[in-house]
Amino acid sequence: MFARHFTQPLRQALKPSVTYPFPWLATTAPQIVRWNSVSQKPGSDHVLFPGAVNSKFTTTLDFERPTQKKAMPTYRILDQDGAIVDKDRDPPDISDAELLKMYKDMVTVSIMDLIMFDAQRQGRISFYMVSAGEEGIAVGSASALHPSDPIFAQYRETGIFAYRGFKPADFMNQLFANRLDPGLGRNMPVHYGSAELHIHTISSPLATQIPHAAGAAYAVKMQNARNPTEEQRVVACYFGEGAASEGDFHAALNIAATRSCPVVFICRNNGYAISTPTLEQYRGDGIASRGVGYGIDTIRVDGNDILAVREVTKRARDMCLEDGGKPVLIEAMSYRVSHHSTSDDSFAYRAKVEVEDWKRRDNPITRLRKWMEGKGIWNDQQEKELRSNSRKEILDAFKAAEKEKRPPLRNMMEGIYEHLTEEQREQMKKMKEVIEKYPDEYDVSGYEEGVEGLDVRKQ
Amino acid sequence: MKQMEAAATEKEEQFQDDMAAEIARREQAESTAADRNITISQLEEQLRNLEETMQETIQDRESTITEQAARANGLERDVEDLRGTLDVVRNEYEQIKEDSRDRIADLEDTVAELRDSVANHVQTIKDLQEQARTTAELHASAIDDRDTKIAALNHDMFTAHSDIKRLEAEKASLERRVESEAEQMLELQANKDDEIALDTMSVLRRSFVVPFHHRPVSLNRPSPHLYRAYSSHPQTARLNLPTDFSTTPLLHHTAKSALSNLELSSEARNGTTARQNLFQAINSALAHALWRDPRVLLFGEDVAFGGVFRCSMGLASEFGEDRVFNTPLSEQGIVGFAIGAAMEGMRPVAEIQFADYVYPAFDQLVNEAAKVRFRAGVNAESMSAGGLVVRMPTGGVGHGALYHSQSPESLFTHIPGLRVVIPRSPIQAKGLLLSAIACNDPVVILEPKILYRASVEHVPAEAYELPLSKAEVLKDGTDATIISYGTSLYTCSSAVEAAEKDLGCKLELIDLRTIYPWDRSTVIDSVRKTGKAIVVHESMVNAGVGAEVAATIQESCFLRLEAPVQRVCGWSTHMGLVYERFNIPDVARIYDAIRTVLDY
Ligand SMILES: Cc1ncc(C[n+]2csc(CCOP(=O)(O)OP(=O)(O)O)c2C)c(N)n1
Ligand SMILES: [Mg+2]
Repeated sequence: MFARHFTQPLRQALKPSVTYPFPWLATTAPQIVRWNSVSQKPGSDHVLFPGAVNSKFTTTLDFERPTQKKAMPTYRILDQDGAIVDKDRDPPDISDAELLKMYKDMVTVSIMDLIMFDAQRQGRISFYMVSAGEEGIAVGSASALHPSDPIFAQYRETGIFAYRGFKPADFMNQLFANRLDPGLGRNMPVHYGSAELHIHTISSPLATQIPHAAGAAYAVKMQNARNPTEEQRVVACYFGEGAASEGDFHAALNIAATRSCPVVFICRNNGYAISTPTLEQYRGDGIASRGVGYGIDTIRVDGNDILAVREVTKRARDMCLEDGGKPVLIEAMSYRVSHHSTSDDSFAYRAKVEVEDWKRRDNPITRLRKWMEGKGIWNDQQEKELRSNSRKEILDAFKAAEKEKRPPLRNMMEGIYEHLTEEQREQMKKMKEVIEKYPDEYDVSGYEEGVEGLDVRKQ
Repeated sequence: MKQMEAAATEKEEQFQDDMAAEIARREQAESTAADRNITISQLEEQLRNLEETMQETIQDRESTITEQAARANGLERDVEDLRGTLDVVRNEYEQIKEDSRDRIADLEDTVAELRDSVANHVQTIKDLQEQARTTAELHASAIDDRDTKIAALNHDMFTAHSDIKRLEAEKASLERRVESEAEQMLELQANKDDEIALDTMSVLRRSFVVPFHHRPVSLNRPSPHLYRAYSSHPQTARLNLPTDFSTTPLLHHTAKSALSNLELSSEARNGTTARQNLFQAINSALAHALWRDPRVLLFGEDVAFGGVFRCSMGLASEFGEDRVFNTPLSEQGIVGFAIGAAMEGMRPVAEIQFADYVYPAFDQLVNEAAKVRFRAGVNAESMSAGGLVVRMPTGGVGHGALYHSQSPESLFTHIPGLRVVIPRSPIQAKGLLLSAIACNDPVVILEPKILYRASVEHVPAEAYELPLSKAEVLKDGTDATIISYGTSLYTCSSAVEAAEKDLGCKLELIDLRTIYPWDRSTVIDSVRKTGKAIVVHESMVNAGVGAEVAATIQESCFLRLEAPVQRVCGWSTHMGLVYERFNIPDVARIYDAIRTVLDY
């Protein structure tokens, strides 16, 4: 109503028009009619307060009490045994090939997680984070996005990289920070990124990516308007329920709502932020209830049900592109069955049985497997083959990546600015001089180009 | 004859005269005597009177004396009575004292018993918890068994179904037997591959066995022996060796040397010590503060279970969740909350999990913590953020990359109103943290996280404060002054040792400790003496603490300077993962700077 009336001129403006050579610029033209009075029919049951336009008067003194409200329901398609719960619904709209791809990606990620967690324990890499139990959220949602939709992720969404086409070698080169690492050896392990796959590089500071996603969605919306014949894109943004306590989360949802940005916010609620349980993280009904507060269409979904995650994300993506663009919030529920990272021992703050219980109860991989077995498109033999093949592929990539040298030393200084500064060039020269003056003190053989790697390249 | 007659006559006359005179004299005397008699009787009269008066007076006096004697007797009786009372009281007092002593002894016994019973209860609770855990585990495994059975049954059903199908298809499949055998050959091959892969993993495992799983792990703990360092010193290295924390002169390896520190309170100096690493020293400082002052609060992300660096271990259970607690994940919230608590009279110690994540709180620190006192004007006394302490782990650990190894101290030293402290060791950390909590200005403490476990020394067991905004001369010298703080001091110390041995010089080493407001005079005095200065820190050289120190030296010691002030610092870049060793100042770079100033 009001909102629609409000966005009408905007949508009008976003429609390509022959008479207007730069339609995307039209959004900046102040064509929107703003509220300028609180005029009201006599005897009306509500007043158009500018801050709450549809609020009716009441004579009952009643506070809204969140604790007395029912919790938002959690959407699912499959039960824990991989059977469809609602027998009346149509079967999920998904091809067998797609199912198999999703399954394979989840399994690959989970095998890689086991191997790399161990590899860190053995001292082969410095750090690792697994996504055990949350593979379904990453892979399921990625499968519902368009491959060109930009993604901003947190760090526990390895499955989106796998789904979009990261091969074991791509993971391994980053994890070993070798010369083939697209991050040029600069980032901690698991901080993947890929321009080709439209996934922005992971950044450790929590929640900073959420407002980025809103801004990116605004950019995408303007570009959509500019290229109406091309695939209309949305932005996807992943974050944990802990990260959602940061100011950036709130700023992002609010700005995305007010600027009608086509962005799917996907919160992975896995019950913990390192040691802090959700009970100490927030008191409301999860993260989902906040979306409602910001005027954002919101749904809660069972993160162990990859088909539900996929379906929900698909619908959310469509909604993002309705009404000239708008954000949607998905809260995907799961449980962090792993330690937070290789630096954490979670049994210092939670009982082992709690974890074992969860592991036994449910898991996105076995649920989908049961569904596929029920459908007759998967069997033990295939399972065995898949597991053995992925393990082999990963170990091959592991061995190859570990042998590679590190990137040249100049990557320590390059990439701060588009071009090296005069000061930085002098510093590289100084560093090189010290290495050459004290050759016994430095081992640069592990770096491509050795000490010459500090030479400034012609720019 | 006549003469004789005349003489006789004369004698007669003389006699007559004398007689007359005598008579006159006697008469005179008689009258005088009469007079005297009168006088005597008068005097006698007077005497009588006097005697009477005397008698009266004496009588008066005597009666007074009797009265007074009576009074005295009365008083003596009173005194006697009082003495009696006193004795009674004294006896009572003795009795009470006796009783109390017994009561206290009884109470002490009771307390001891209670303590025992509490301990017993705790043990019982522990046992019960253990039992509960075991039961839960048993249940879990029972459930597990049941689940497995159900799963197996389900599976059997599936198998049965497919068996039927398979039987139906058996005839056809028999015909394809030969083909399927060929397929099996391929499968066997695949399985073999799988086994080889598994073998490789176990070989990998064997070659890198580390006793890891038994040890508690915390986030990003410095564990140099666990990961393959991104760049290591070569065998040939003589300077760029890792710090040997067990021998470095910067740590107190004996109780005696720890307690000889004159900055310590006499209480601390006369006490004992405990060997502690830096996180343990911080833990004990926090415990002292929480114990001593009910206004002290401790909170931050994951603080309740001990914090990811274990600094608050055990404090939530010791001091209760009201005073030691987890916050939601929001740095701006944490610091803003702490400022508010300080403004209303508490002494909050807020923890930011990593210095790299303090930036959301930057507004609160720069615009609020640093400015509340100033803007409150005459109300500053009661409306400042004094008592606020913000702690954060800082610095490189060898593998932290962009967001786990930053040293953002100079961003805070630019802000008047904040005190910025970086301790170099467990002893320093404890004393400086306690001073910070006692300080009426907001204090930001950056704790070098690589030192949390690596640096171990004898730390005085008592609470003690070390002065803020006061540098410490760690080593006297005459030829050059090296100014640093935090982790870099250990690198400086190694470089100093090597240079003194190789070059026969004597170098002065200064720890700034508080980097703002900083102890300018200690540095200036030293450089006036040596004429040469080198500033060393991990964080970027551009607009770093070194720039401020060098400029101050230049302003104050210009005529005494014999070489340009050197800065050995992080380069003007971010901390790339595999480049950290080349970015953070190492021994060789400091050694080289020493040579440069000495040869100048
Ligand atoms: C701004 C910021 N503060 C603190 C941290 C340290 N930290 C890393 S992960 C994490 C917990 C995040 O929890 P959540 O968002 O729920 O994600 P999960 O790990 O559960 O997937 C914390 C506190 C950080 N990376 N960034
Ligand atoms: Mg979480």
